[in-house]
Amino acid sequence: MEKINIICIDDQADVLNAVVKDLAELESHFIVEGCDSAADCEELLEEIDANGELLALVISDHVMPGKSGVEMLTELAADPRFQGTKKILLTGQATQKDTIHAINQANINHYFEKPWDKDALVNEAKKLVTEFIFEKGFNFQDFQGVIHSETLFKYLK
Amino acid sequence: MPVPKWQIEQFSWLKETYFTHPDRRIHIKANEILLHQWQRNERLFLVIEGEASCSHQMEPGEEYLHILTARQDEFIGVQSFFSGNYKSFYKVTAKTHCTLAFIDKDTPMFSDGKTLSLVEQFAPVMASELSARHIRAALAVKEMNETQKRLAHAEQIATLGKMAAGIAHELNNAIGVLKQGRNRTSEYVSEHLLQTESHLSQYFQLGEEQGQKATASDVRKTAKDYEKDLKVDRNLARRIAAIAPQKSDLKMLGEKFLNHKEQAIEAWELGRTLHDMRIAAEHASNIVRSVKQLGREVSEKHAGVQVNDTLSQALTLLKREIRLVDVHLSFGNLPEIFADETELIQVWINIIKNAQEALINSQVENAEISILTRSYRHHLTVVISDNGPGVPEELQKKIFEPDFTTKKTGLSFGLGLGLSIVQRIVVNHGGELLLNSQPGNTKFKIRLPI
Repeated sequence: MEKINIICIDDQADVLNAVVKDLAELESHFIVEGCDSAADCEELLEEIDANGELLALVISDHVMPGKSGVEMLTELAADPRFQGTKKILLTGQATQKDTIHAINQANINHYFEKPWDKDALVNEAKKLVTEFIFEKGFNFQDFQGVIHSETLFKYLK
Repeated sequence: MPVPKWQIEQFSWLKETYFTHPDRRIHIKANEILLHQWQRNERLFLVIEGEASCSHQMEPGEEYLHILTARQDEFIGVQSFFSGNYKSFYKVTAKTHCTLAFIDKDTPMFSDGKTLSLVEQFAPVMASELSARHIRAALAVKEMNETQKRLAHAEQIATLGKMAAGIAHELNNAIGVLKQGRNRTSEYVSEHLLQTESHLSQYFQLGEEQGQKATASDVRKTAKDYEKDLKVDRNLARRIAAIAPQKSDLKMLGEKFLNHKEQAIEAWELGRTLHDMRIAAEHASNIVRSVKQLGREVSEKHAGVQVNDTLSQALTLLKREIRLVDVHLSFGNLPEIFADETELIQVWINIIKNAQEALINSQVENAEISILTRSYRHHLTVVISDNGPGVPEELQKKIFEPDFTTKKTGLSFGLGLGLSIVQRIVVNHGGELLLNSQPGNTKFKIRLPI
């Protein structure tokens, strides 16, 4: 079966660990990776591409040293190799301007404010990976346990 | 507005003609009163030398408002003389020793062949004198408006500071509850594990005490090896790498760890979470402490403060921030000083954190911060330097202004509340703050009196 990744990015190690930990139930079908900067994530993107793996979802913080989350997601949105990849911005510090940019240029799918609610984050992550699975034409039956049922019904209708 | 040439000539002629007579010249000493308000005055004075202040009382009993200062070649008594009521509108006091020349209402007119009366001769010069006074009044109003705006802003800041201090107090209570709850949870889990699953206790302890040391990319690199070596999936490999970022760490953990690795990882991760909670609570407390500073109106200084200790405390608070920076310390033998410890810590935190951010944001290789303290006869100095890109010359003055920030992305708000506060605290301690910055070498030098 294809290796499908989910990447979480936050420069604060404790926050990153918490996000990765929250997504533990997705580990049955996805590889959940953590990165502590945009540069770190870019390195991982190259690896994923080189190994012929897929990237279903990126959950990124915004304010980080070096490149910001919105800047990185904007570049990702323009990267032909990751066109189906879903994007969540998880931040406590985006200004209105950053947020507008995130929606218009980075095409983010969802925006969470910190502190986040685990159930809401996991629910949204499942919804987005389910969309990814359908859009890529995978058999949803291979993804028992991580499929978002409402999204599933929408596709099966 | 330049004065036209003919008017200057007219003034010179008037001065020469009317204000050179030795009998019509008086001297007054500094602080002496030339005229009281509404005093009878039939003279028009010209200041030959010195300065006199003209003030006016609106209502009896009220204070005198300073209206204007008459300087060399300016007139006093214009209103009383030309209006013909001969009563001084101002109280005129000499600011310095003054020499004044005058004419009075009986001084005969000197004909210039063009004008018919003294009033007519003086009119243009008087008109320009009055318009100059108007301009000065307008400038004073403008300045007052600006002062008012500044005051209103300062008041706003002070109000915000007070509000922040109130919020800080509430937050401290909340943080306290979380801290205590975390401690109890940690103790309970620790006890419980010891009694029921003692083989997992050490992993919990390890996570709780030390947290995760490896960075995300270290973890990923090692995880790849573990995936192959241990034949586990990448998610599990990643979790093992978080505990054991080096293969030698894994050896230290031993066979026992690998035999029940999934449970051991759970225990370690729970410990790490509790560790992170403790650090986060400390971080929140520190932020609250610095916010409280905003609302503080008086500092609490006391004798016996060891500046080196305050620096060490600041570094402890910044442990997380400076983990990627090489910090060199060179502490001299310093006498104890009279100071506010909390405020000094605040100063160091702000400067060190700025240096750290500059180094990290510009991705300087071999990032370094050096802290040097030395004592001299009357003062001691603390020099905090970094090898970052430096503060551009045009910004060197601005960085001490309250609203200044270079932080473009997001609403940056950490321990640092800006260099304006640093400046204020240092000045409040009778010290001074100097900045010397070039690319690759930026020095903040703080001098404090002994």
